[in-house]
Amino acid sequence: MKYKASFFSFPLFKENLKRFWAVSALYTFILALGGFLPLIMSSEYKSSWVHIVRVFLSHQHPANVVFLVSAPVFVVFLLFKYMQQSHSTAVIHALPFTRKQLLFSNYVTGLLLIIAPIIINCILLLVIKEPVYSGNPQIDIFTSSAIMNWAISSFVISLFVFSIAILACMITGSSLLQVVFGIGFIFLTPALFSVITVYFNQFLFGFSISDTLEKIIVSTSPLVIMLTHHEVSDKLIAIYFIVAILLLFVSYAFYKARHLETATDSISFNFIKPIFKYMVAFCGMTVLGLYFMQLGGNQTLNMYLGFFLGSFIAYLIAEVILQKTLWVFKNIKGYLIFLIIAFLFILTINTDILGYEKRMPNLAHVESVYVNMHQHDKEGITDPENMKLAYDYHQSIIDNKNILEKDLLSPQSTNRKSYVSFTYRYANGKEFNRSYRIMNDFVKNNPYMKKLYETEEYKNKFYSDIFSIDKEDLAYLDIRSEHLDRPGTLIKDSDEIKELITLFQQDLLSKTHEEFNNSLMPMGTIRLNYLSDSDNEKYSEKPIHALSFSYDYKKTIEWLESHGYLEEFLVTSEDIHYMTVRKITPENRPMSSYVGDRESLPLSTSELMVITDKAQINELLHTVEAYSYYLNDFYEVYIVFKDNQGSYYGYYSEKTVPDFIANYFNNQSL
Amino acid sequence: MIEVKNLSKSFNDSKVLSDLNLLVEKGSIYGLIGANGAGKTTLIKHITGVFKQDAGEVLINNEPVLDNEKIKSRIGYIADDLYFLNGYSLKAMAKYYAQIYPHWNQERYTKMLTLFNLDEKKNLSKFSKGMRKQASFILAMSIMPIALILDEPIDGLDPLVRKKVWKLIVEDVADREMSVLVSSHNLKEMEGICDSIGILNEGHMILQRNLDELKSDICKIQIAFDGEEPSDLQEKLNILHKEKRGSVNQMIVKGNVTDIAKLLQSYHPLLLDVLPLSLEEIFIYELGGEGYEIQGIIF
Repeated sequence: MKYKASFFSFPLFKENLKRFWAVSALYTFILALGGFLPLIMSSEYKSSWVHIVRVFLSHQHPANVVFLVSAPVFVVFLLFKYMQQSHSTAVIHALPFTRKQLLFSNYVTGLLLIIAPIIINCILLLVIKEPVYSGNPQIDIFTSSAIMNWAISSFVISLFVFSIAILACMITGSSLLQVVFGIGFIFLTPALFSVITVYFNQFLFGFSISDTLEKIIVSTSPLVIMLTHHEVSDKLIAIYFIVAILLLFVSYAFYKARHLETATDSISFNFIKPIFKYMVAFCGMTVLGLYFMQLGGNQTLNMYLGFFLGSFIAYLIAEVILQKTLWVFKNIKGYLIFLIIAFLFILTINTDILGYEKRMPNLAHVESVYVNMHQHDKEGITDPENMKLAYDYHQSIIDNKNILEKDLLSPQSTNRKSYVSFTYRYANGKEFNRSYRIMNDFVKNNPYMKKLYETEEYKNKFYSDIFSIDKEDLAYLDIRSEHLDRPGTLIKDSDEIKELITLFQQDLLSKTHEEFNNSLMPMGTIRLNYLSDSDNEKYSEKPIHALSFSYDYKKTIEWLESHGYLEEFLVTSEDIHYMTVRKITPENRPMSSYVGDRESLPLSTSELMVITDKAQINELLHTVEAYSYYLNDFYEVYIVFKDNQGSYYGYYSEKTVPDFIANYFNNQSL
Repeated sequence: MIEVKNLSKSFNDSKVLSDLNLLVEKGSIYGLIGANGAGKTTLIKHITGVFKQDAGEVLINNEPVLDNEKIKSRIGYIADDLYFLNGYSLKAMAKYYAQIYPHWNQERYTKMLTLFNLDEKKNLSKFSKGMRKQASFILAMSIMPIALILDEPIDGLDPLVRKKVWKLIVEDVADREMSVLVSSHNLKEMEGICDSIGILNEGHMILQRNLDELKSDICKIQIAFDGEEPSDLQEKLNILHKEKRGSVNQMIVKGNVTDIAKLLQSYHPLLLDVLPLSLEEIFIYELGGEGYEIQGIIF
């Protein structure tokens, strides 16, 4: 046999396959449990294919997740287990293989073991595939290209996880930690990012991350994308593939540098030990700090106590893992160093040394501004006057930081809060982002925001999805009640469609800031069905598929009424069996609403007002809100349909509740 | 030829091997002895190309061993803590070895299998410790090694099998000039087989010599005089140990055995016996005076 600088050993590869082929067979079966088997078993009930195909091909089935997470990690565990035990590492490395051959041959074997289940399942699906339509619109979702896409993305994601698991294996000498790190590393970047942003969110008023950065961070883990039900794009698939290959070479560098006597050690490289220790301490600090803060009703002291205890306990745990002994107290010096670094870190953020909170962009260089708009594919405000309004609104938030923060941190606050975001985009494409969680009252009463909201430009940009509806492309509209499950009213006439959509847009344009801020319950939904919906790609490109409207959409409702459509879907007092109202106060929370048997009418009591009067029911249907403006002292309305057709909840605040309800409870309390 | 030059190795902050030198000549057997924790297995794992040294060189036939596929294919290694691929029989292991060791000798394998009377189809995990050692020995010898590294090879073997093992090793050393390094706690067995001996203590090679030379350089003397012992005797001999039992003096003396006998004859003793020392005794007396923990070394 000739010796040459080879990176691959065929006998090793063959022997590995002989030893571990069963794993591949097992995962072939697991994958089949999610797609192929349910499909052939339900072949007589083709209606269920839609769900099976959609869930499986989008990697949302548990079998997919089990495969993508566990198969690569388990295969790495089996192939590289020899590195984590003294006797096996000695014998295997004494065999006539170089480390390069061991790594690359195992890598190729692993790859084959992982890819085989995907290929087999892909072939099985291709064999049984036939047109399966995703309901309405008629889109075939069980196509060859969809199956191939599933196979390619499954392969690349598992290859990515496989490469990460190998890297994890190289840095630890423990089989258990090899698995823990293998899985943990997949989520490491998003997890660390989340942990760090906790501090910025907590201590920096207005802290915000640009969507782009957030997207990049999330993209570092394909499994996070999948678990958050997002699609893994083709571009990302290509990136994962390249990164996976690069990781292989990084792993080789680690393997080459590894001292094999570190088998059974928790971490095989000394320079990683402090990183591991401090990372664990940092995560422990964050988790317990947040937990203590929640336990203690946002009390800062509790948070600091949590920081201290969390970091101390986590640091000791990390030391126990590293030293493999419970007697780690002599290493406390390292913890003191951590405490100093953590203190400086929190101090730097908390005192806002860099002036992040007060910093505002120079409007002269700003090209567009987004206020409460997700800027993806949208245009921002560009009119200088409107940009100035946005700027002033933003400045007013900063100027009122103390009041807003006090309300935010106060456990006694009954104000409902919402997020307000600002993105200033410069001509060079750079962005300035801020995001605040502030009380609704401040937003509602802010003069700059009122002016801005009521400008045509803001409305056009804020509701750009609605204003950009291609009326020519609409096939028909399907209008339904928001709460009652009855067949929709169909509008097919193209002129009527255009007319209604235009009126809906006019209603939006005439909406005042006050109307925008009330929370009137939606009474109907217009479902948009496009002519181009039969085209798969175009369907997903459509920005909007439904429009909800409440009683303050006057022009829309008038038109529906005048054309005789309103009565077809409108919920009236005739549909309602009864309503009950409870007054919710801090004393009787948590809510224990009356549900019971919907058909039997409850009795009015001092705590429960039962409404059966048609006029009163009608008034409530028009005015009930989707949520209470304040968190305490509000009214909860339970609305029950006749004939067991369902029920829903509505709310009133003290300011909006009808007099007859307020009087009822006032009399009860006398 | 196995050569270790100035080898040093630390595990974390503790030095395990310190500036260590070792030479196993072609066609010779080298016995490595030392107490538990002396660094024997660490040294062996360097020689088999498993551990990476901090400093120094480990060479076999003048080539570095670490990550050297070619040299490793000529090293037979029997580890103290045996390991076989999970679920494998001896036959399966042999088949695997035949693919990865270019000098695999199937004929020898078959012969040795018959000699040791092992069931090659039985799962190796079902073998007793001694049988696993034999299986490991068959595999190591069938690759036709130029260097055989044995870490506690006879531990768990019965006397008959031990005899067979040593016989085969000696034959290969004689016929093929195989170099053998054997680490063992059994000094009696080492004495009968080794050409050279090295003693390792706390990572240092404290003694390394040819066994015959070592033996000819120290002896036990029983001597009795008519009357008092000559006063100048103490000065003329390098006495490592002295003990009086009645009128007989018992001494361990370092130096050329013939010269010592000649010198003592010149005093016309009533009784004179010059006896050779066993390996175990040599270590006790040779190194006891140097202040080493002899009891620890030879237990």
